[in-house]
Amino acid sequence: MSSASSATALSDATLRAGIDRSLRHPVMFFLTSGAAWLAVSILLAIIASIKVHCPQFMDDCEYASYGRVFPAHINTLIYGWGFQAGFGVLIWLMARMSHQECRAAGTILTAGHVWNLVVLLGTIGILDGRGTGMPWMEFPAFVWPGLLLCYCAIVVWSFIQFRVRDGERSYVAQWYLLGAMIWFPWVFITANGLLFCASTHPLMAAAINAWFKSTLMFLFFIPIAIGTAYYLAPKLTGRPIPSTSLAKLGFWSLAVVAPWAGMQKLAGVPLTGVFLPYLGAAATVLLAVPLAIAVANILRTIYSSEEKLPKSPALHFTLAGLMGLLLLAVAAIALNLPGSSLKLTQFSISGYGFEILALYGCFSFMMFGAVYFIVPRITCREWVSSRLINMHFFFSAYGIVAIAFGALFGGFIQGSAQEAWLQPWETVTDVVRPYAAVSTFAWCVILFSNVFFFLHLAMMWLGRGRPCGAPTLLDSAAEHAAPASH
Amino acid sequence: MDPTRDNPLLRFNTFWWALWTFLMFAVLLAAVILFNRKPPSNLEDAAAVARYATRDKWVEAQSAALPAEQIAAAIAKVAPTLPAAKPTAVERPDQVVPGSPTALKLAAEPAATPAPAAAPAETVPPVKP
Repeated sequence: MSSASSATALSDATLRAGIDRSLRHPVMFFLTSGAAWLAVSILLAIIASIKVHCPQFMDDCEYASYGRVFPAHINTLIYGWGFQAGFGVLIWLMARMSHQECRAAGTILTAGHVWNLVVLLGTIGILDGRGTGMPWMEFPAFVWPGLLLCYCAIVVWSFIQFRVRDGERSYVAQWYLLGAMIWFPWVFITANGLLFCASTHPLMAAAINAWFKSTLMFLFFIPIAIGTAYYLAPKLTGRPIPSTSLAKLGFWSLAVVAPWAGMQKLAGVPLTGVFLPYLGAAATVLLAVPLAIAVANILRTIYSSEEKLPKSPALHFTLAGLMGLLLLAVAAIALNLPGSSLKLTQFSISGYGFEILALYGCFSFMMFGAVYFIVPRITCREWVSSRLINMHFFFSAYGIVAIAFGALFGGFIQGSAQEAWLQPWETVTDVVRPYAAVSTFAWCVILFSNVFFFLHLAMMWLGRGRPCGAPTLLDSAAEHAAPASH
Repeated sequence: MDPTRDNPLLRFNTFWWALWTFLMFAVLLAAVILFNRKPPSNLEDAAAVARYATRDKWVEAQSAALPAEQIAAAIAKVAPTLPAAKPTAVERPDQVVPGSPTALKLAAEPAATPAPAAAPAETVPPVKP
């Protein structure tokens, strides 16, 4: 190696170390508090799920009624875990890809604390019976401006880093992250503004709410997940993305199609005829194209270096997240065909299965992959135990497969029972009961894995990680053998 | 690092540019809301106006027929007498508890011809939704 190239490598390593040091506390704060909210959310999911098949459970406690616990579960999953994991990963990836240290860690950290406080107040509001009743927007109305201000204070620095980045080129991962950063305020301000600041017709309010759910999923969570995978796959395998043109096609098709999706949930509602619901159904079905493109492109990168797959925890989780993304693309088609499947899934648990598949099966798995990649770099410690990582992976994977398949398939059964007019309505609840019981068991399994994930993460933040140069790999034979490539 | 690209002025500009991008969505939304305020234009909205008017009329009529002040006054008058009142035996057969002594007594008596049901005081035509 020449002295010039070794000097460049040293300067790159110094820069990376400086970026990691500058973002250590904000990133660890977001990831750890996100993991704690995830555990809370799963606990609420278990209570809500038990109440589906055993309604008398905790029936003397008004705070634990299904109408309060279920929205609290979904909202803590989205705003407690989803957003904070997204923030932690987004600000780190943007800084790394732009080669810029963070100069506003204090502001980000403060905004992160306020975000947590606001989410806590919102959750208490829901449990106290002050929820708005609109899915994914159940926090009391005073919460959303606080969330928006915190979002601006957290994300605006990543815009600056992108603008002053080193060189003119940008990475595929940056497109998706930048898109998510801009699309979220649009979706959030539009939906909340129309619902809470304007006197919107109740039917239109339901339509806006359905649109908000879909766009938040496909224009914020999924782009962050895809962007993270586009970063991790080449980084971990050492191979480039096979086709930039395909990546461009995937990005722009997502940007064009996703804003139209969502209103198919209102099929049959007198809402300007059938135009908006059918447009929503067509757009959701078409979303399979950008999702499949992203999966194909990233899978080709991963399988071009197949030998690294059994060892890397980050790659394991990323691959599982890609499988979730692929399943999401298939489910987007299967659940939303007007005239055949839509009427069976419109008012059934399939919608919940689809949401959990997107939020946990795809987004969360990608975030877990990123966490296992990022945390050793910013704490300068290695993960304590590959067994804990393995447990986290397998329990989460089996749990989410059970919930997603149970809810998707159970939703079809439930929809068929709803369509059987001659049967009493009780049969609809009876056919769902076994799937709800499976779901309860699966959430317990996921809670078990995530409590250990949270403890593992907290240990890393407290400096209790393994002070060793070799990364913690899943392949026990190779453990401590491979060199660290930070 | 390219020194001409990263400078305080560019950072400052980008900071405001990003905040303006976020704020622009709010401004656009406010403009859309302000310039789209118009009376109901479709069939659903027109029907809703009639429904709300009917609902207001009925709420007003119900309030006039049974004002809250009258209820409060009646409660103040009746409530003190209730604890002192003794329970009385139910006479109507459809209100008798099955298996109770009254039920057994009624069963032992010869069946009487049931009285015709009282006609409603006033029939109100159903309101078209």
